[in-house]
Amino acid sequence: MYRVFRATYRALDRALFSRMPLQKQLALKAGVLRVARGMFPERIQAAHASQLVDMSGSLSSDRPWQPPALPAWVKDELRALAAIDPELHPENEAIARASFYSAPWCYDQPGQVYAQLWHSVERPVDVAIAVPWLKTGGADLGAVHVANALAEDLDRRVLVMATEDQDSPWASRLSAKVQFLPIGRPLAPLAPGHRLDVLVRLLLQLSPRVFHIMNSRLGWDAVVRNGLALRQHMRIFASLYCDDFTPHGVPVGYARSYLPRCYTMLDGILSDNTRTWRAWVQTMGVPASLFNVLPFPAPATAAPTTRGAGKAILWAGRLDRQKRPDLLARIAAAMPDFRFDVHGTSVCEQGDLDMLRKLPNVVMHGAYACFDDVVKDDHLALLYTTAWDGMPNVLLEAAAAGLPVVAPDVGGITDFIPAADLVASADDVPAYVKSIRDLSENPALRAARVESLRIKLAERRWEVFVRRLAGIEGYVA
Amino acid sequence: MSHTSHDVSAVITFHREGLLAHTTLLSIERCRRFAEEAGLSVEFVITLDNADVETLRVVKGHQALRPGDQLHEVDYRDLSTCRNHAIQHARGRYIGTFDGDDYFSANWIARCVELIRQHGEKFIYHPEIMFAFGAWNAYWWQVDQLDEYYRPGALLITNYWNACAFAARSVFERCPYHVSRVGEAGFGFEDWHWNCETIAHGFVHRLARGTVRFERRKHGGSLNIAHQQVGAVIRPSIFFEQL
Repeated sequence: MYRVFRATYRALDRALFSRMPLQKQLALKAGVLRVARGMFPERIQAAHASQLVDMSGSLSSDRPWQPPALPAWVKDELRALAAIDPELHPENEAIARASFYSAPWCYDQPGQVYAQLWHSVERPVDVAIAVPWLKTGGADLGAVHVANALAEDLDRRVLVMATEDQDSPWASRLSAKVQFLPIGRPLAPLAPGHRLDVLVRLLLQLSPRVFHIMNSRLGWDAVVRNGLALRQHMRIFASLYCDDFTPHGVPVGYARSYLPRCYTMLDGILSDNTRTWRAWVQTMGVPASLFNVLPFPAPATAAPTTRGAGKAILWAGRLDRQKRPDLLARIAAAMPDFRFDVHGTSVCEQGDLDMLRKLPNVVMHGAYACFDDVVKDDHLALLYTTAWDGMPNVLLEAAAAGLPVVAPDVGGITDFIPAADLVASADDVPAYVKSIRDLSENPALRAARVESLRIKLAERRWEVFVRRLAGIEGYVA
Repeated sequence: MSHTSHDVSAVITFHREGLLAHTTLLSIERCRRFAEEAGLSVEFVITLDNADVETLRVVKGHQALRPGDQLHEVDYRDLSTCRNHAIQHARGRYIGTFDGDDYFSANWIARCVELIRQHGEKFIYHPEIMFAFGAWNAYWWQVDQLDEYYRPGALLITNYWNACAFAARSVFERCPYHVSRVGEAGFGFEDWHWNCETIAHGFVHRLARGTVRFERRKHGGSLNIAHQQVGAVIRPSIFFEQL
């Protein structure tokens, strides 16, 4: 990569840069140097743009900057010291070959980014939470819940850091008492190692009581590299929900990537359900005592209304491989007498949704902002299809809206819906069809399911969530 | 605080250098004789930290040692604590810290004293040029805090000055070295941290022009390499609150 960069620069320099007026050339090459230092901090030798310019104005790349020679007085010292240690004689091959090392003394961009962030934070901080971003998603909502509960109900000074260079529209959902710092953007121009340097220094200097990683890769990397040092000044927690799976069925994700390397640095792991983390205990051998179950709270909506039971099904979520749009299409194809309202953005390949789009009884509505806005009076139920999961928030939203749920027994869903009310096999199209038709043909069954969910929702009141959060050992107290 | 009976205390830390301690002491003795020709008195304050038998033999019987020199056998297993221990016992107005396997130009001690007397005791001096030899052969100029190359922000990722420094004893008393314990606590590079702390306390790191340190680079086993391998970081410092 560096060689490509250098060759490209040299070609441009010969053809273009070196023909520019001196001042313009200096300004341009200072910019190139800045970028190069960011990308290859260990490779860049030149300290100033002037070292890349031939002041006479002639081509510079063909006559590169020459490093300074070892001063004669140092050679004299070497010669004198050789009487004590002959290895140092200036004519010895190794000593004679010693080359000038141009340390990147002037490269201070990571320090500047750090200083900018440091001065942006109101101190002290009790809990620092690292998220990748705050946008649509169950994990993002969970992070908002945790931050708001800490700040509003538990009187903690909370800093949420978004570590990826992406927008965080859901930062607006954070309490005004929570500080939100989008560090991903200023960190983006830095080399990966320097991003870590900035985050670790920020954490060490802030010394919060708790550092909580909520799906931030940079946060995990910080613990892998400097967990031992961080632990001297703070307790470290992480949230983990479920594995992802490759098309070949291999479990992947933060738990698989990071737990084996740094679970000993963690004071605790928070999960939104009682089931998924047991796989990590069983397959990786991490101690069960690390895990704390923190079910996310029910959405704060009005009491559910009793809706009519028409021949329409609601599907809402992110259209990706995990959420099985193929399965949804097969279910819809098997139920031509039902309308399927599909809400959500697609991150699938176009071809994966073709079957769904071709079905006359499927209406693709696109993105949605608020679950309550997509529920119609004739919706019989929420159909939830998924290949793997923790405890999806959309089920809580459906229950709060008075909709029963048809979902598979996957991940931590049984924390909210009894296994008997779920489709036993996630692939079983006839079982989904039967479950939907049972609800349609048996209003009493549907009403009982809605009531059952309403009771389960009550167990997820905000106060319960706050109490559970406060009860996690070492987290708040 | 110990009384002042010498101009300079050369604080030298050994642990398991073996025969390297022999040539190191010969080279520091060379610096002492040069300083004495300039009218300065210099004592050695040596710590032997959990030293092995060979290092003890070489150092305790070394021809450069004089009756007034101090030898402290300690069991701290920590460079910072050794230096602080030696500084507590030092009787010089000025202190130079030396590693157990490096060499300096003969003028190192005399030149530093001359500069501190000329400019004042808020200045800490480092060799102008570093010459690495052994596993890596290279040379470079260090950075003077008052020159154009100095960028405070660079100290986040770079240690401008190597471990050996020369300053008034009061500087070391005001800013002692902090324990690293890299294996147990993940913190390292005590000299980098000390550089940051001293700047934050208003001291200024400068170069003693015309001096050079010859730094031995080992293929393995050095403290610096150990710190790099475990990804050690420096402890929190008020320097980073002022950046």
